[in-house]
Amino acid sequence: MFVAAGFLWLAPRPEMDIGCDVHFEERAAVSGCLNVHSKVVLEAAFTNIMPWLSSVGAAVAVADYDNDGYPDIYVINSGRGDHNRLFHNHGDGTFEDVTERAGVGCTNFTGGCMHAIWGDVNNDGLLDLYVVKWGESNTLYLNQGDGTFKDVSHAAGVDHWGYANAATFLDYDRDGHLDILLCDYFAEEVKDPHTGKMVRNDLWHPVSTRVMHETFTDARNGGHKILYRNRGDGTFEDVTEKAGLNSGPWTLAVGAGDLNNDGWPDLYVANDFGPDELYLNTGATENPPRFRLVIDPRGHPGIGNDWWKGMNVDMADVNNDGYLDIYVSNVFERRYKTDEGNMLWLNCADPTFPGGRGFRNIAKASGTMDGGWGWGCKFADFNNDGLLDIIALNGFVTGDPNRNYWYQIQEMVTQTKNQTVNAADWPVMGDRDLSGHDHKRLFMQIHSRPGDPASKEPRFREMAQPAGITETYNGRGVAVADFNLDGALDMYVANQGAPSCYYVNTSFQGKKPPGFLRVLLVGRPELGIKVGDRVLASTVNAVGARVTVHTKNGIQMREVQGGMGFASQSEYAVHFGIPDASAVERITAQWPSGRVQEIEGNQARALINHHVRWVEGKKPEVLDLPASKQPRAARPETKP
Amino acid sequence: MNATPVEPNESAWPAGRRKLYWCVALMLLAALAALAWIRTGMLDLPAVPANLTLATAGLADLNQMKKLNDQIWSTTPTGQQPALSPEALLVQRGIGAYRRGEAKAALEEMRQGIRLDPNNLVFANAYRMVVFAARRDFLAAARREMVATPKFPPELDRQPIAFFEELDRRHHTRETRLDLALAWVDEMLLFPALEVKAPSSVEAVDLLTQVIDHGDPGYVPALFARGLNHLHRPARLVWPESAKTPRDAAAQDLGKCVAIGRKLHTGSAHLHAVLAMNLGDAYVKAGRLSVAHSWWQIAQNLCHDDDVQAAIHRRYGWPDDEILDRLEAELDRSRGELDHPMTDLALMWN
Repeated sequence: MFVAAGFLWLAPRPEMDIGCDVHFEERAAVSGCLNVHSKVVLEAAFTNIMPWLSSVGAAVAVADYDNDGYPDIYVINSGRGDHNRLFHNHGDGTFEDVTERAGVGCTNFTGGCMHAIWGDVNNDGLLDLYVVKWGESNTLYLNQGDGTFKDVSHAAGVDHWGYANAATFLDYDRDGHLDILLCDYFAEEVKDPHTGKMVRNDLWHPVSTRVMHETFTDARNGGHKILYRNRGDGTFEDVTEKAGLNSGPWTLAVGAGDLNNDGWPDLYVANDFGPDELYLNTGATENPPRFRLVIDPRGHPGIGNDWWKGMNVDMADVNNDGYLDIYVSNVFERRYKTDEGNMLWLNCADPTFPGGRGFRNIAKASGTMDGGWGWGCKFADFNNDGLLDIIALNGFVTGDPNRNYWYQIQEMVTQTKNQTVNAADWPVMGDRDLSGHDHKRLFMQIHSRPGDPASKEPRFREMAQPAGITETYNGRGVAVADFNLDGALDMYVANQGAPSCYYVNTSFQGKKPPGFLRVLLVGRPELGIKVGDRVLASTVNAVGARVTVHTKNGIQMREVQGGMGFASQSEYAVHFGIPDASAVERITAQWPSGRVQEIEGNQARALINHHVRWVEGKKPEVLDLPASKQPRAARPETKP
Repeated sequence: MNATPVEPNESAWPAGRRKLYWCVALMLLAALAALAWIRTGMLDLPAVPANLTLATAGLADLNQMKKLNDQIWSTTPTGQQPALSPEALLVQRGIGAYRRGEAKAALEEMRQGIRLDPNNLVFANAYRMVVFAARRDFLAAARREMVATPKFPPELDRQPIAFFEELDRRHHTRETRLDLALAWVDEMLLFPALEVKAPSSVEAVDLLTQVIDHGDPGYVPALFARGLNHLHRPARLVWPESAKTPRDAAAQDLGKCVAIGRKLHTGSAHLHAVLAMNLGDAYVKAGRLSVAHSWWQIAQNLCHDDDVQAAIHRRYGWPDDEILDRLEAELDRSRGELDHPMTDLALMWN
C-alpha cells in the first residue's frame, strides 16, 4: 500500500484536461444548410485515375453578405450542370437556400467550381463573391445590396481561365483596396503532341494526357499564381510578375498574414508534389511592394523540411506570443510508412532567416502531427479557454476498404522524374481506397505544464470522437464561425462528394459559459495616413488588421483574414475565448492604415461577452441583436 | 682535506621529471593562451591602420568640443562668458531665441553660424537637436489634438535635412555628409512607421558609406553612426537586394570603433562602455551570442555608471531563445527616447 501510495505521489502529474470538454452536434439537415457535394468529372481519357482527379472541389465560404449580423454560407458543387448554393442564416438556428434569388449559382457549364471567397472589392460595405474554377473563367459577383449579385468578372478583368484551387483576398500594397491572389493547380497550357505548340490545357477536351506532376517531390510543371491588384476604380491589373510571384508549383492552398510583424501581409503557399513556399512582403522597405521568396538553410524554398505535400495552411498565434504561427496539413498514413504528417510551425526569432523570423516544426511534440490524409484545417478556440485549438479534416478517396491504392502509389513515388506526367501511365484506381475512411481530428490545446510560466510550447489532445465529430467523409473545406452568436465557435464542413456537416458547438449548453469577445472590424479607406511618399489605408473588411487582448496573464492576438487555406473561408469577425474577464487590461486594434486604437480598463472589460463592431477611428460598439434574432434556447437534436 | 665545492647536480631533477615539468608548463601556457584567445581573440576586433591619428579618426579636440558645446548651450549671460567666435555667438543666440519660442528666427541664426564654420560638428549637432525638439513637440501637440495628418510649419518642414543637403552641396566634406546622414536618422526617430524608417535608414547608410569607403575608413563618428544604423534596423524588415547588408554589418562598424578607441586611448569610460554594449548587441543580431555576452561583460567592467550597469543587467536576463526579440524591444525603447535622442553627438565629447 505504501509502495502504491509512494508511486502515486511520485508519478508525474497528468496533463491537465482544461479545455478538453467540448461538444458539437451535427445539424445540417434540420437547419436547412445541407449540401451533398457533386464531384467534377473530366474526360474519359482520365478514367483510370478519375477518383484521384475528381477528389477536390468541396469548398465553403462563410460571411455575413447581407449585414444582418449572422454569418451566411456559400458552398461549392463541382459537377457539370450543378450549381453552388448560398444559405442565408435566419439567426434562429435555420438557413434558407437563396441561391436562385441571389443569382450566384454559377452553374458549371464548361468546367467545375472549386472554391469561393467573400470580400468587399469596391469598399461599399457589401461583401462581394469571387468564385474560382477549373477549366472555366472565374466569376466575380458584385453585391447589389438587395440580396442579388451581378457578374462583373470581365469588366473587372478578373475572369481568369485556369485551374485554381487556392484564392485569397488581401491588400498586399495597403492602399485600402482588396487585391486577389489566385493559385492554379494544373498548368494552364499543355504541349499539343501533334503540333508541338502550347495550347490550352482543357481537361474536358484534352489534346494530351501528359498533364500530371513531373515528380512527387519537386514538381514545377503546375499552374501559376495570379496576383490581381485592385486599382480602386472597379478594375484590376495583373501584377504577378512585378510582385515576384512567378513560380509554377501545384498549389492547393494559400494564406496571407503578417508573419514578421512588419505590418505587411506575407504569403505561405502550400504546394502538392513539392516544397511549400514562404514569401515575405517587402512593403516596409520597397514601394511598390514585392514578395521575396524565403530560401531555407538547405537551399529549398520554404521554411524547413515540409514533406512536399502541402494541402492546407492556416495562420494564427497559437502560443500567444504576438506572432502568427502556421499549421500545414500533409499526408500521414502510418500503416504504409507515410509518416510525414501535419506541421505546426512555431514562429520564433532567428537572425539567420530573412525577416528575422524562423519556424520550428513542433507538430510531433505537440501532438498535432497525425492528421491522416490531411485537407482543410483551422485554428479556433472552441472552448473559450484562451488557447487556440485545431480542427483538421482528412480522407482522400473512399473505395473498397479491402482493396487500396497505396501499393500502386508508393511504387510510383519511387519512380524517377517524368514517369508520372502521363495520366495514361498511372495504374487503374477503379474502386480502390486511398485513405478514405479517416476520422477527423480535433486537437484541443491543453496547458502542457501547469504552473510553469516558462513553458510556451503548446500541447494538444485529440478529442474529435468524444466531441461528437464522428463522420468519416472525405473532408475538404472547413469554415469556422459563430453562426448562432452564442459566443461559441461552430463549424461548417464541406465533404467531397458527400453531405456537408454543420457542427453546432453545444459545449456550454446548460452551463455558465466562459467569456468570449467577438469583434468585427470595419476599416475606413478614406482615413488613409500619409507615410513618406505613399498613403496607407485599410479596406472596409479590414483584412490584415489585428485585434490584441492584453490581460494580466498575457496576450491574445487575431488577424483578420480574407480567406485562408484549402477550400474554405471563415467569417471575417475575430473571436477570443476570455476565461477570466477581470484579467483584461486593454484591447487594441492595429489597422493596415498604420492607425492604432486602444480601449483600456473598465471600458475594455465591458466589451467581454459581447459581439462588437469596431469602426476605424471610432470607439468599439456593442452590437444589439434584434429580439427576433436571438439564438434559440433549445435546438432540434439530430444525429450525424 | 680540501673539500671540493659541489657543483649543482643536474641530476637532482631527473631528466624524465624535467621533461614532465616542461610539458606541464607548456600545457599551462597553451591553456592560458587558449583562454586569452577565447576571451579576446574571439572578440574579433579588426586591425587598425598604424597611421591612424586622432584627427583622421575624428576624435581630436574632444575636450574643446565639450567646452564649446557647454558655452553655446549655456544660459549664463554672454557678458559673463569667455569671448566666443562670431559663428559660435550666432549659434548661441539661435539657441536662446528658440528657448524664447522664436523658432523661425532661431533656426535662421543658427544656420548663419553653421555656414561660417560648416565643419563644426558641435554647431551642426546643436542645430539638429533644436530642430528635433521643435518637430517632436509639434507632433506631440498634433497627437493631443487628434490631427490625422499633421503638417509642419514652413520653418520646420523638411528640416534639418533640407539645410544639410544645401550645406553639403556648397561645402562637401566628411563632416557635412555626417550631419546630413544624422538628419536622416533623426527622421527615423521621429516617425515610428517602418515605411519611413526604412528609406531614411537607406539614405543615411548610403551617405555614411560614401564617407567611410571614399577616403575616411577610420572616421569614428561615421562608423559609429553607420553601425548604430545597422544595429537598429529591425530584424523583421525584408530588404530589396540593392539595400541588403551583411548580417554582421553592425558588428563590423562598431568593432572598428572599439578597436580605434582602444588604440588611440581617447574617449570617456562611459563612451567605451556604450560602444562595447552596442557591439554586444550587434553580435546578437549576427547570431553570435557568446561573443555578445563577452562584450556586455566588458562593458560592465568598463564603467560603473548606473545607466550602463542597469542596461547590462537587463541584457543578462534575456533567455537565449528570446534574446533577439528582447533586444529588438530594447532598441525600440531606446529609439523612443525622444527627450534624449540617440543621434545627439554630445555623447562623443561628454
